[in-house]
Amino acid sequence: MPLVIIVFILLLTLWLLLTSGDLGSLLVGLPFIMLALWSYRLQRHAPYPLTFSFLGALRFVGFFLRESLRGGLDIALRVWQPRVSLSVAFYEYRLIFPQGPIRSFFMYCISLLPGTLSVCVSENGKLRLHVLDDRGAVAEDLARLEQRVCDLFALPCYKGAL
Amino acid sequence: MIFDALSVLLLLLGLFFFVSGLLGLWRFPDTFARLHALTKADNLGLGLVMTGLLFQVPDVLWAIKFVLVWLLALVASAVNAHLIAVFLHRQQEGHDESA
Repeated sequence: MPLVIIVFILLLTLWLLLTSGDLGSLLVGLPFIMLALWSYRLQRHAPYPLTFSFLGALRFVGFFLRESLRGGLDIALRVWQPRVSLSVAFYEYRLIFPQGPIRSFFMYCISLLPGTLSVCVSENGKLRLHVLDDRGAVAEDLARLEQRVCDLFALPCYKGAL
Repeated sequence: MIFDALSVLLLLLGLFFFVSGLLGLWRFPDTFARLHALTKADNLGLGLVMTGLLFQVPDVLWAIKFVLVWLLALVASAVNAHLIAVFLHRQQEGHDESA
């Protein structure tokens, strides 16, 4: 089955779940589903197949929930203190994922996890990110996320290389 | 009864993190740091509110709906933070070159 059909079915299911199966709402939903499918044409990377691992997904979900908790607590601890203690900095990290959905997923996860925010991919191909506190273990955190993303997409990753 | 108590507890906790995010928006020194506060605190805050509401769902379809709403909000928050960060970064680089 072509990818576009699969994505169409996924989006349609998502919409029907959110609207409790109200078919009349497709009057609004269908144009947006079409818009989303059309936006697929805007991507510039070479397509590559995506694979998933069920065990990897379970590990990823556990990891993501734990890190979300840590990230939220980290912010809460900082903002409720009498003096906000930050040591903001830009940081560069080598990317192992090729341009495309996995890299985007990795970058969005970085922004949702403690103390890191994806900014852009610089000209040298490295990921530029903003860190809230450069006194923490940024590289270790990123490497752990990278490992979990590799597990999720069933990619063989060994010591930070694909 | 116990489920209601759990719901209230989780909703209050979620609220606490939303307020923390708001406080971060107010107290953090620059836009990048503020983006951190909003993405992380809201991720957890909405997650806790969603979990609290899971104890009140009439059927499993509603539970799926709540989880989906949380996931969609996460995607929106991460994409928005990224777009704002890219825009800001470009603006600052442009400023550096002209300086």
